[in-house]
Amino acid sequence: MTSQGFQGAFRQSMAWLHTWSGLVLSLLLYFIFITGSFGYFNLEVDHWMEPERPVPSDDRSSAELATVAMAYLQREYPDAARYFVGLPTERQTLLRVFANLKEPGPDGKAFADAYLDPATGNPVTVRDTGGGDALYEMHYSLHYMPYEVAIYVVGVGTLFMLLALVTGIVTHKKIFVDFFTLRFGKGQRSWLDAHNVSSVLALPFMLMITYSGLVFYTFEYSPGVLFLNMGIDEQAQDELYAHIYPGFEDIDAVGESAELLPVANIIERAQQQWPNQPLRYVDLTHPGDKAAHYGVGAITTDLSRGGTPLRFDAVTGAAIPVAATPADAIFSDGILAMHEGRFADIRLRWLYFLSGLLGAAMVATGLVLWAKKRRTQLKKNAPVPRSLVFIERTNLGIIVGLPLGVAAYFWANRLLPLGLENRAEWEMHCLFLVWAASFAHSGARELSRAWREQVALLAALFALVPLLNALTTDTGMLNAVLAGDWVRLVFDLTCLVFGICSALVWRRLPVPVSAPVAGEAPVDQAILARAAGSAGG
Amino acid sequence: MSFALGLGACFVAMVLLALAQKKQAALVLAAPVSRSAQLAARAAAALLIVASLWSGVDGYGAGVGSVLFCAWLCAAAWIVALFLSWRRSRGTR
Repeated sequence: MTSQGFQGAFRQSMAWLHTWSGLVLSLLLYFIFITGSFGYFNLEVDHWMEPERPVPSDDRSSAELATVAMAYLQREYPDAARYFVGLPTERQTLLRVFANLKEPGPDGKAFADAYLDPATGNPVTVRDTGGGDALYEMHYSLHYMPYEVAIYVVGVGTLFMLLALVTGIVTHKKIFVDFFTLRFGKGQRSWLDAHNVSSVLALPFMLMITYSGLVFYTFEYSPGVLFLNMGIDEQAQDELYAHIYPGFEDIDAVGESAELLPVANIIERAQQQWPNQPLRYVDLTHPGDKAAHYGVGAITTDLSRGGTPLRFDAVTGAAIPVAATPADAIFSDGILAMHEGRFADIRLRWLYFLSGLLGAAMVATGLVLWAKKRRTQLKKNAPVPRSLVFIERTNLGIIVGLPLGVAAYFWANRLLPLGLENRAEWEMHCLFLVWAASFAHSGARELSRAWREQVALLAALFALVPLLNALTTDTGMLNAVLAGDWVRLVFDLTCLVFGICSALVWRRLPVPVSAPVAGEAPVDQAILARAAGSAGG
Repeated sequence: MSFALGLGACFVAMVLLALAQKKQAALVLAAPVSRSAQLAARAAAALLIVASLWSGVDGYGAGVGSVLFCAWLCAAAWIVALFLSWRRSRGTR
């Protein structure tokens, strides 16, 4: 075989692998990209979905806030084994307090938590909602699926994604020549351009997010490595985890009471050590005991997931040395930090978020391209294979159905009764019910009509979010501007922009021809043929 | 400041790279770009990309700076691609 022949055959086999590795788990990959993208704004989504939260203010210092929070915890949970105070940050507006109880409380829980208003120190009762975290967690826990199963399903999907990316790079002959090429209004060619541009221009992100996604569950995905090196007994595995995640060495309580240093002193010392880093949390272990100690963590500004915390003796104030993180842990921590983008400021977060949506666009354009290619390969008047009809309809349910579900999730947050039992869970049910309805609708309606109807609904649901918010809460856009609540304002505006973009897409969708005469397939073909020029753009 | 600087450098680099391609340059410029101008544009783009990476690493450290640099490259390339696509849809060939 000549080298050119070999290259051609190799590229062809890679193209086959690219098509099928991308197509088979496309639903899962699209789901992961859409829901995972919300992880970069999980706290902001929380803020919008809990309109009872006060507007952020930075009137009080970290030391004052920590003092107020510790006083609350000592008053409410005097016998707790540990107190934790999450300090307000740019992204998290409330004081979060948490107590590990020595005995389970009346509700059977061994912990208690609450949100405090940073301005008053009073507890804030917020509605029961999944918030941004529920959306974000879905991208690896798949919500209804048992966690242990879900991470393997997601792992297989991620592996397929990595395969699709690598084979896609090999397949793409004109990767540099077509680097900026995005032609609208050219039918199948436009979809190919969109697929190429959405993947190639965000390729570093795609490769990073996929690879780092696999690193998250290294030991779950390759347990043999763990067992062969460390044996199968739990102690050996615990040793490995202790090596990778050193954390604090436990200090036991001695049972003697002692006067503790005020938390404000500790905060002051931490701020001296980290003059440019806002503090994220302070905790107190064994409060009231002679062995009590404080821990302080700052907001990460480097490639790590939490940085190395500081630790102080709560009686003497002496610094307690913290074990250094080993190099391999720093590496894996850095990879995971890149995935989560914890270090990212608001500008980089937007780029992460948009890149995540590009990932979803890459999957979506790939799906449409696959179906369009099969359509054009059909001979004139030939019957359309059922498999192709099925995939075209499923494509609609995937591509438009999931964003519809997300919109329904936001609407449910505002419309479900506040006293509803398991309200947060019902918000999530609404997402999946609407998504399922989208599949049913795309199966029941003539395809081009179904596209128009669902995209119109999507546009309306997102564009009306600001109105819904203004009608059901006092955090509407006008009030948000007056109160300086930029997070809620930007959330509303983002929904509005997304609604307008969906409306623009709707305007370009082909208008279905009326009264099909002889079955559905020829009508669909006619529509697609007519739309060939306009659907791409 | 380094954020805007890095993103700006990437953007100019991407514009230069696009102009160094015949098809893309035809969408923006009236006259075709000569071979030597293409080479100069590519060389300047390479320098700007290095400068952008340096700006990211200098301002944010090696780890975060590298991530930022990749994000700037993607964002800048997207802006240029969308602009060229808009030019094409306006009928410029």
